[in-house]
Amino acid sequence: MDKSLGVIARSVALKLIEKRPEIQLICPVLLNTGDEKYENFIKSTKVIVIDGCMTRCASKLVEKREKKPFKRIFIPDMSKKYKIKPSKELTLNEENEKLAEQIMEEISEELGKVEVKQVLKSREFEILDFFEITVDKYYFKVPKEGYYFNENDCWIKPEGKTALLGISDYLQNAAADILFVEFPEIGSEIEQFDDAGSFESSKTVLQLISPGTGKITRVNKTLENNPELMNQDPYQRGWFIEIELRDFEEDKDLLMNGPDYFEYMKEKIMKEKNHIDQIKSEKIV
Amino acid sequence: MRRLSEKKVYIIPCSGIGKVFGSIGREATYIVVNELAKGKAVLECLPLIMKGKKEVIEELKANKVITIDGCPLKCSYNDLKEVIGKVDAQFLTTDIVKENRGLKPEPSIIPIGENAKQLSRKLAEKVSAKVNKLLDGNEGANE
Amino acid sequence: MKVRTNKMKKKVGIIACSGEKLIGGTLARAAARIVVEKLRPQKTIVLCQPLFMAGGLERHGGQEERDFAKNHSTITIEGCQEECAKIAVDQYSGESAATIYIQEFLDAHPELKPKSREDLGEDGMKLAEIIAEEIAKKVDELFVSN
Repeated sequence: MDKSLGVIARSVALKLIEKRPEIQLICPVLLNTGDEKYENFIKSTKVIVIDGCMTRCASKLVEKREKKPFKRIFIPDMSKKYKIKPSKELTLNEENEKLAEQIMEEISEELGKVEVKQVLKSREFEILDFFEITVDKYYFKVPKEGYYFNENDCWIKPEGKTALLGISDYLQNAAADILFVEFPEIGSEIEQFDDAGSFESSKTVLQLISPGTGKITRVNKTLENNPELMNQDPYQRGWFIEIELRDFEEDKDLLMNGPDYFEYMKEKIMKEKNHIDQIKSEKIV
Repeated sequence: MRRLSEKKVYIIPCSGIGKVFGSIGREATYIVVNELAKGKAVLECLPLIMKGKKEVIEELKANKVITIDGCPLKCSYNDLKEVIGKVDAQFLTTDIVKENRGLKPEPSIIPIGENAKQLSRKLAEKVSAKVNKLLDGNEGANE
Repeated sequence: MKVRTNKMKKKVGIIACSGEKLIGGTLARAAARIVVEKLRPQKTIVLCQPLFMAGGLERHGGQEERDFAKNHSTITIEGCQEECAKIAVDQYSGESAATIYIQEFLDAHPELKPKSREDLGEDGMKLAEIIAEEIAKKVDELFVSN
């Protein structure tokens, strides 16, 4: 920000997000502190870096995270390309504005050729209220409202005509650290209780058994680089797929609401705990 | 102020014993400090740092620091950021596991299995390359 | 609504030194795993010391370790005289019920010299077993009184 080239770089970024609202601006100062939200976001999406001068701060920040930028913009090179000499003022005068506009158009045109559905802002999630049980040192949570569960410990959260699907806290705990995900194809139709993708941990491979019927409209691409979100936040950031619902009222007949699933889960946990303790006792004897 | 040639790189593994990933990080640290970056990299105890041992903290602030964590909770990285305010490079064992899907680590934590040992070696190679980069002075800014 | 499963006797938490520089740390961890996996698996649970120390901040996830230690007896295993595990438990969850000092065992069994901090070797593992047996006795005392 102490050079006109930096001011131009900033202006390019601001113009770009105005024209292309699906693009998210990343604050380099916050990124440099190791902000987790940005760290995760960078890993999971295409990144454009815009450097104003030879110090190339933006490039360095991204390369440190071992990420190759999708596009690099170096303002001095752009100035030569468009034959617009930037003035030295720290405010955006006519020349600097013109250069910023040209650069923005170039990036926008190139993005038009690329699948930009991946470059999305992260969802905002509401604060949930949970039922909780503690067994030894493990917490198991079930949202009180809004979620429905099948007996395979997978949930569906209807949101009007669509619904998000994912796995329960119990299932993520049983799976242990999830390392890989495999999504079903977007556009494919699934029936209730069909396999709707799989996830692999250090222990095992498990399927997500769909609690609902419909067409797959989105998958949570963030999980490809950050599958641990399924462990850390199974009901929100760890959502797996989104479907367009066909007839949720019919699907609901075979599902449990939050309170019912909580009872079901508790019983399951206690049975397993007693069973495991018994096996361990038998092993010692 | 120390010259770059006098600086060391401290490796701080998380040392968790709840999962095999902590053991892989620990094993990788040993390979780096005993073999691949011997004389350039040293390890330090995370609990001692968290305890606030003054001389240890001063040393870390004056040198380069690499953390190796066993899981995305990143205890070592987060703790170091809090106590000494910087981490020069960070590694996550689960990233190595993801990059080597065919080498699924055995669940045994102590001792670790063959696949886990191989993963430790791969991680150690990455870490020691970073040690050299940090000491070359090409990467001076904090993570 | 939290439901506590307190109909059964409560498990004992084992927190081993996670120090890396000395053999004591390696012995502490090995002894902890032997107790939890082999000797007293249904009476004990391992608490991860780094997670325990990092807990309290939402993103770290170590709050579960700390909460467990508040409501259950804990045994800390110290690799050296710094007593990091004991200090952490006392600070974040309340006094530990028992502390095991690895150095005492090293002094009492000079014939069982561990090979190195990286690899305990046969004698080191034997020593870890002896330490684990002592911990198991403490677990039995605490488990009954829980």
